[in-house]
Amino acid sequence: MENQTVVDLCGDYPDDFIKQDIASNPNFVFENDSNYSAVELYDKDENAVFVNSFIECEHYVSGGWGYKPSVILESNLQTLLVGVILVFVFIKFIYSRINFSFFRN
Amino acid sequence: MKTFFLKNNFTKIIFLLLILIVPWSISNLTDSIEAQKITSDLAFYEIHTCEVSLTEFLIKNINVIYQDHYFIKSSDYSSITCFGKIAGITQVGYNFYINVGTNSLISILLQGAFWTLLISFISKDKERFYVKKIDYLRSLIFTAALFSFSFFAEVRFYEKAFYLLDLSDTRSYFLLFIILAFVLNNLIDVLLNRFNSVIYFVPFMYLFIGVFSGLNFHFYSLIFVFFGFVSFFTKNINKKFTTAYLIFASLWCINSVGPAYYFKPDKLRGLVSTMYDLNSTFYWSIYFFFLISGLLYLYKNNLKEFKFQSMYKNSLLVVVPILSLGYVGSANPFFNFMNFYYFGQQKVGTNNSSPLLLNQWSERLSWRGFSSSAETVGEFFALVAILGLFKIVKERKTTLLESFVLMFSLFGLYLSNNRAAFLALVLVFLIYFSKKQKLSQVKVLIGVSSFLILLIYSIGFENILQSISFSGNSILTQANLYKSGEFGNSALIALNNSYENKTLFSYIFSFLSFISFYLNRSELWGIFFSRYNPNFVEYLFGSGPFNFGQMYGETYIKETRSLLFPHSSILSLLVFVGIFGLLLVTIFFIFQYLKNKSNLNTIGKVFILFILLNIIKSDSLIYLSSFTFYTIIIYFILKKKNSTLFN
Repeated sequence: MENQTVVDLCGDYPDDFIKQDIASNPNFVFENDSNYSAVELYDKDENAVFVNSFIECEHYVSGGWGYKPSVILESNLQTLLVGVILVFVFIKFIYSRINFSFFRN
Repeated sequence: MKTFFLKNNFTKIIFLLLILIVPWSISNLTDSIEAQKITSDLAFYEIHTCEVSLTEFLIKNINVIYQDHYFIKSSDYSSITCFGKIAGITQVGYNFYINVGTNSLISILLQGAFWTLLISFISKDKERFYVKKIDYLRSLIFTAALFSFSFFAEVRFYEKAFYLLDLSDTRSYFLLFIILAFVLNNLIDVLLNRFNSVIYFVPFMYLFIGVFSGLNFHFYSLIFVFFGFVSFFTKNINKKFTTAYLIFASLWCINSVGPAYYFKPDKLRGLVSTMYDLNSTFYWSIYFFFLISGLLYLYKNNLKEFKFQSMYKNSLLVVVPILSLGYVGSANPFFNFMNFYYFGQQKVGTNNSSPLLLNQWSERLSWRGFSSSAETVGEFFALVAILGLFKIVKERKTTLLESFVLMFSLFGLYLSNNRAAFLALVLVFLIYFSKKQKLSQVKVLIGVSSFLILLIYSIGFENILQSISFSGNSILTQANLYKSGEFGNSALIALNNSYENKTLFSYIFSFLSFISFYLNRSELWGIFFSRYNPNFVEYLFGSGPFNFGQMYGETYIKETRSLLFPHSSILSLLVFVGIFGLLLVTIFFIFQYLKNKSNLNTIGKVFILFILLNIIKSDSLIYLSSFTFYTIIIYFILKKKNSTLFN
């Protein structure tokens, strides 16, 4: 089954993709895919890794690696900003019904 | 003196203080990281970026507030969590450059709230100005959308302004739209209750310049463009002007398709296009149309009640803060930073704390202080001084405050070293004084002689003795000195040919050169003509409003000592609207002057004269503060009976 986070980070699943049980094979070596442009992934401590094939990327993403945490935080804060504004506008609208104005204008 | 300010505004004052203090004081107090004393070993601040708040840093390094080898700069490309914290410190020689994180999204909200709160201190009108709900909503949406579009149109400038905001993603524009609409809605909500009072606060635009940190537009633009849209939706726009403008705008847009030129806005930030390409030209064309429409809407709706006296009183309130904040900022890095952020300066105030400095030839150096342009602020001081002097002559009395401010205005004018504004001041004062006092011919002659002596002293006696052929060729000589190739650009080739063939145009241009020589503008105008490279359409219709990108990007010239602007609003207009546009503007102005001549008295006439003299040799019209101040003065002088206006 396709994982949307994997698609976002690693790209579309190859047609011939078969999920392998890499974790149980300690001697597994990821082979570089010359057609695959390297992707940088991060863990929660902001450790970085470059992955050079879809299989490697999928493996890391499934294991919890992904976007840089600070990037996620920034994106969340930007969304929060809009959320706060919309809530503020809503509250202001409700209070305006009972003659309230933020700046006492 | 009547004040617009109410006494009981404690809630607002608390809010204001919070906005001033809290953003720079937020940090994680539970961690073990403490600010360190600043030394040449900056390892601590390299490791702990965005972990120490500015307040913590200043408590530990109190000397940074007042020692002039520290420079506090805002870093707009910072994360939201980094806002108000030390983003990095660099040492260059003995100087330390301290970067403080100032995220641009937060800045829009913070500065927007700060300036809206300040406007809310102005006392309300008796009645709220009425704008139909549907027009209000439409204007709000269109204004926010237009400014959101500006981020797309000037993407090269803005990609360095927004941290991790992907400007190729539609979601980012939605976010920007929401933030702008929010700020604008609060602002207009407050403003509509003070619609007839805010117009008197235009002189405050010289103090609260209102450019958002990291962005390329003024807070005031939001207001003017909003009312531009209101005027458009209520069908209050001039059809002839709109038709003519549409033709010009279409030509500007068609002409801008092709190579893109970037222009670093520097001290013009807020009212200059940073790109010369289709998107940017399209945006600035729309922006300028609604800016003008909005200003006219504001003026028209205040025409009946407007009194010059109230604006004059507010001008008085601005002079001393401009000078003192400029001086305090020049000597204290912390205040310099605060001035920049909370007053919305286009460019950080000067760090030259010796306003009376002379150069190696013992000539006075101009001191810009708080303002980004010494010349423009000098004109403002001169205007305030004229108003004060006229009032003294007219009423034969003055108050202590007025005399005090008048002295400061003249001092500010002296510091700005704007000799042309000073001479224009003397000239218009002499004209007014001689008319008002009905002076005898002898006294008029003494006045004229004094003015001529001043003029000769200002120009320099050795310059007066120069031959006419030398002064008449001065612009062309300078233009040829600065050209980079063998032949130069289209304007320069045409000029050289014209001089060689001794055409009628060469004689007209020689006269312009002659004037430029005595105005000390030969070099600057020469540089302009060495750069100006229009094709036929551009020569006729220009490149579009506030668009210097093409002129500065297209032609390579020899290195100049700094980024020098044309130093003539007429030449700037030539670039923006071309010779045909310039002619239309001139004809329109002359027509308006003749049509409204019955309204004018001596004060009105000399004011117009003063403004015209100054815009010929300064860049004032490309600064929103002076653009608004001059248009408001000229509009009301022409449209309102001067005896009532100046009563």
